[in-house]
Amino acid sequence: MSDVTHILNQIESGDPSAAEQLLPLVYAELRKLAAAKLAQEMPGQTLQATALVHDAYLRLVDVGHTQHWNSRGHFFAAAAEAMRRILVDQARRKQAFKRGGQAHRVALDAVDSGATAPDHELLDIDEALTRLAAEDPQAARLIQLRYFAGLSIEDAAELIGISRSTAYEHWSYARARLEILLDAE
Amino acid sequence: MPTDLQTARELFLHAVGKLPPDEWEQYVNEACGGDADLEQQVGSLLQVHLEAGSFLNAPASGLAATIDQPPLERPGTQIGPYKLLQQIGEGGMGVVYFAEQSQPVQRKVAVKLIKVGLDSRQIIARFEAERQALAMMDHVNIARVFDGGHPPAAIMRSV
Repeated sequence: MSDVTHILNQIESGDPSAAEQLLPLVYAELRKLAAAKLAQEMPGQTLQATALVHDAYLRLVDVGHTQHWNSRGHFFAAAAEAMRRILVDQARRKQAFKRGGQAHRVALDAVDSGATAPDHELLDIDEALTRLAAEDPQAARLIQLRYFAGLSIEDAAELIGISRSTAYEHWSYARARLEILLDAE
Repeated sequence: MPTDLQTARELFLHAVGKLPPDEWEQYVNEACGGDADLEQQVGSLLQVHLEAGSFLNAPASGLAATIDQPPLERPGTQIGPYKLLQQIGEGGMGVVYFAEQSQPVQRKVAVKLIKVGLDSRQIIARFEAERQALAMMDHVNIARVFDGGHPPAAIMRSV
């Protein structure tokens, strides 16, 4: 049984310390997967965060040993958080690089290509999402699962344990509220 | 959530869920009962809702090929089955390391790694061509290519 599967089962059986061990493992796996995949790509390609998260799930979670839907919830929550940190770190690094602050081992032509949200946009969204989480934690969780782990609203609703209609209300409100928070920044 | 936000949220959701956009203004005006701040708050929520378009609809992409640059190669770094021992040369494009291969056989090899920052499409293509050319040659004084690899690397017999 994989480490992650083991931890997920511990969380299921009510061990509160287990959840803390999950994030670093998932984070490390996502970075490793990203690095491995990027090594196979031509420079300038971008990876879908969502695809990475799903690959990580298949690699880390022994599906036969985790019957509980909740386990998926814990995994994807950790993965969304990990992916958010990875993307934010990357955006910060690239900004520092553009300002010429630090020398990075980055090919210039690899920096801006790809249909990606501009880095400042990602950093702004990250900041606004943190503020939203203070006002409305459940809506922020939903957005995080959707945006950083790529779950559908329906799947995210099921993982959080809310009805679909509640999830769509969260989604509709949180999107508008985030825009206002972004404009205020 | 602060009460004013809570109220704004409720009014916003009611308008969006139950009323056509052309009735929003009147509804908000009546529901806010003269509370100008609240009215303004709900109004701007509804405004951005209409304009939101695809905002956040697509999950974040954007792990560009800049993420997680591997730690600088140095003696001790493991690259696949090769453990770098010491740098033995450096050219315009790459750095050559003396390395130890562990799998499938144990042997000493030379590993040429493309220089970091040079991994643009053209340079990788040139590197590939060189690797290809080397692989076709088998001479005691010419490095023999055992393996290609990712990140761009050529594994050669150590001569």
